[in-house]
Amino acid sequence: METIRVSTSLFDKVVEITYNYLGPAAERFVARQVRNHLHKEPESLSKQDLRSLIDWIRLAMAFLSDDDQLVNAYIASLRELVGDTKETVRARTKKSR
Amino acid sequence: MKLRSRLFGLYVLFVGLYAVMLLIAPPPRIAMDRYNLTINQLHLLELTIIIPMAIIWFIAFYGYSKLRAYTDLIKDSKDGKQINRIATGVLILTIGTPFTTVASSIMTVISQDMPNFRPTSLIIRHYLDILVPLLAFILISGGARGLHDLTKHRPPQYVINAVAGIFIVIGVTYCWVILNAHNFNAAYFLPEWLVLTTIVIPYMYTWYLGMMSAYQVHAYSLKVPGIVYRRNWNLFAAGIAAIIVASIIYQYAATLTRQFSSLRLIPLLCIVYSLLALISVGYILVALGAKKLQKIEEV
Repeated sequence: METIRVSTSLFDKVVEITYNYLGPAAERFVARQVRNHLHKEPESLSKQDLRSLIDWIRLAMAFLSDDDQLVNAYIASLRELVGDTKETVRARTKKSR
Repeated sequence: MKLRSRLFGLYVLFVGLYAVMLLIAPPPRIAMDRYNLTINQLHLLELTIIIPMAIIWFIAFYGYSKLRAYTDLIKDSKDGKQINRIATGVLILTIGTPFTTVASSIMTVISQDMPNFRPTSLIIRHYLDILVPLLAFILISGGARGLHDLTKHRPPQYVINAVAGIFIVIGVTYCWVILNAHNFNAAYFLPEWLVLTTIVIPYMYTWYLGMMSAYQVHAYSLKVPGIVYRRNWNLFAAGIAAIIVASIIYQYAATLTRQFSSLRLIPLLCIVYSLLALISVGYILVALGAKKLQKIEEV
């Protein structure tokens, strides 16, 4: 299946990463997290909202998958969008535990 | 909730009508003599048909309600439109199966009192039996093809060859069995050419659509992106494929009941129950898969 998407906004970038985990449900899933938890329209998602969005996504993913490794890999990919390196992501994950 | 209560009402109506029809129908003397059954044994046997049938129909209605709930959440999206068509096809199968069973039993009761109505009732039953799966599989195959097209993958040549091979074997043996039935006239009350063109060909077309749909839904579950989504789709796809395959075998066997009449009662019931159980397993998998997919759309 065609997986290449042209990213024009931050929302598109989040959807692009999510697509690898939630496939056709990705866009609907991310849009719902943005609308319901950040009370914003998906197109107006900014870099300042990302950390909060990622926390909500982590919570939502806990309901959808028991595979911790998979969820961590997904969250790590999202955190790279904030500018976090893999080391800081790992450190933050350890701290939050 | 509204849909669920409407479906439940319909389910109760079908089970009630079916039970009443079985109870008021005069005992089938030929079958009683063939299987050495007393009237009490016959009623017990009827109970062993009503109860599993009621359970199977309930599972089908429950499975469909879950599928519809999921479909309603995503009906405007690209994949949602295709899943919606599959769900409508599954609805026709879900309602159509008890409908044709109840309609057949009503016509059996009528034709016991009015022997002249028997040929007409048999002809109506044959066409009802083909109409329901034909409509259902046209919709299901449209949805399955649409989903498969989303993956932009063409079926490999060996799949096309396998479907064609199975289809040829089923088609040729089916025609041979139908045309060589010693009681052809009593079974159809129609000329051979009309049976071939309006019953056999539509059945074969229906089964072809069914086989292709089962493959396409399965192929979608292998190719669709999204690791979590795909895992949940696998259950759903297995369920849809089981419903389709079991329905095809069930229809194939049901149209050949007269050929199976030489079988003993227990093996005959075992065949019928195992096919109905397979359809139920399909609906259970659809319900589980739809429930999990629904979660993705709700959290």
